[in-house]
Amino acid sequence: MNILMAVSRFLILAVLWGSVVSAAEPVQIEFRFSTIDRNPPRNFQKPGFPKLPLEIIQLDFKVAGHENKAEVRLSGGDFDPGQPSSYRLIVTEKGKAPREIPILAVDPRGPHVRAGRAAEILLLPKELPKQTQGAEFKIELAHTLTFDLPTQSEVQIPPNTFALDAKALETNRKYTAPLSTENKIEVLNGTGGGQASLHYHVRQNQIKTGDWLHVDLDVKADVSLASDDKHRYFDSIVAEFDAFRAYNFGRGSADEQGHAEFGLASRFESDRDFANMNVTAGLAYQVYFKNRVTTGLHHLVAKDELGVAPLFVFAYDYVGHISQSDETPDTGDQRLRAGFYWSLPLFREVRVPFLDVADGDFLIAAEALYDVEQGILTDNTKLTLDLRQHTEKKDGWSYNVTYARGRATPTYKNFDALLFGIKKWF
Amino acid sequence: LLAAGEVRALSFSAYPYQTLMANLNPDDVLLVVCSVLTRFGDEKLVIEDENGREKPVPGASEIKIARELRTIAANDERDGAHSISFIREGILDGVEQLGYSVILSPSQLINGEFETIGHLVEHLMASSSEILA
Repeated sequence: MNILMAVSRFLILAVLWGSVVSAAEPVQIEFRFSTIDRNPPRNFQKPGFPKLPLEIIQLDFKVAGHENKAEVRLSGGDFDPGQPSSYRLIVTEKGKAPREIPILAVDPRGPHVRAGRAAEILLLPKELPKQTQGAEFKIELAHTLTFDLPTQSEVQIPPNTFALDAKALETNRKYTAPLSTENKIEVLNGTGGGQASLHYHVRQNQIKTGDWLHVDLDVKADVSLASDDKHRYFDSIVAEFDAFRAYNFGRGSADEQGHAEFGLASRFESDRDFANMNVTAGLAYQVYFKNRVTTGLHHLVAKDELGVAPLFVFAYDYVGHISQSDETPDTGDQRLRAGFYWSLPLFREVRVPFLDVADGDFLIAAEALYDVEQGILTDNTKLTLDLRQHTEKKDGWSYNVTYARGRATPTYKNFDALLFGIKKWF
Repeated sequence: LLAAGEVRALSFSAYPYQTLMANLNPDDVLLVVCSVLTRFGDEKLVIEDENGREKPVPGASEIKIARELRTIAANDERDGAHSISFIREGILDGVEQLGYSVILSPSQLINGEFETIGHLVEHLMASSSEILA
């Protein structure tokens, strides 16, 4: 009898413990935009599906206390995570009514699938709007999601709507869309003909194969078609061409090593009145140089942070002034530039007034500009003491004191200033 | 149990189609990530063992990277460099050489989604799928 009572008490305790754990282990779901620009999943390769780069939505499950996402199991039920019909993507573009974009395919990924567990699921929308500015994206789940946790507890998430960050989509396009050619001419609303914009971007990217040359061409023009502005035609035009080589040097385990880029950059730009037109062409060398000195200094204070190796920049620019307004000061046609950028950690987790526990860094941004024809050397130096609230979240406060000197563009007047700043991360 | 490296189609009741076995080794992914990031960081992330083979430094998974990746992206903006692209491409290439494709978007690197190297490795593991020949 005593044994039976002990067993029943144990079972009651186990059930109570399971409930407590369930309450303490909420499952978080995050939806975010991602991009696939190589090796698409097989079920994303059907005829009629978008071509690379694929813009996808990534569904990510997170459970507090279980860093290993493979421990979380989607137990199915009414909600079938493998069916496109389980998700609704609603897009509201600026000035337009909300509309639904079909989900073409779903792909669960990773070793979690082996054990019937889900951690990340990819959704392939039929298409996404080209203009993301001001657009709102939402995902609706039609049914309740049920998760089994390793502690034998269960968590349910009722049908819900999740917002997606359009800025992430914009960022991904900036990096991945240039891998293909984009030709776009669009006429925006307006009177008497409206506005047109042309964007031509092509990138011959050999990063993957490690070949010598990478080429990036970008042309943007905004054209005014309005009757009052017909004499101007272009509101602005910018053309940019980069050709560069990027490479690593030194062994990965060496004390002295890093990553460098060497290349040619040229640019033409004009304002809408063609009062200021410049063409620039130049050579640039940028190198992240890991070395014993800065590695040693960094390791003394912040060995659990990667830090950023000192960045050195050397550049030569030829500036051709095709036309220049009277308000712009005279500058020469040839410039040399050298820069040094590094952040030295000063302390970590120290009590500081107003910030409670804070981290401190000393940021060095030193830049020297030499106008070859005018013989003028300008140093633009910025030294910043940055005090940052030490928090696991990304929403802390930071205070900084900056000493800055040099010449500010476009007026090229001297400045010498002590600046105080407060920042709130969110 | 399946032997390491064996590829076999499995089915799971929650998903109405078959998917592939995954045997990606997290230690291999950690070495790929460390080998790429060490080029840009102050801290050393890779050392050599007694046989001259490169391996991650002890505790590499705990090293924070979120703020550093934001700084590198800001340097790219200011100087017109392409470092974030090379970091991303380097990681994708390295994992592809192990026989897997992964999802890693620039916005995930720049927006502080991965606080530590371990978080990045965990994401790569979770988003991996084997590349068929």
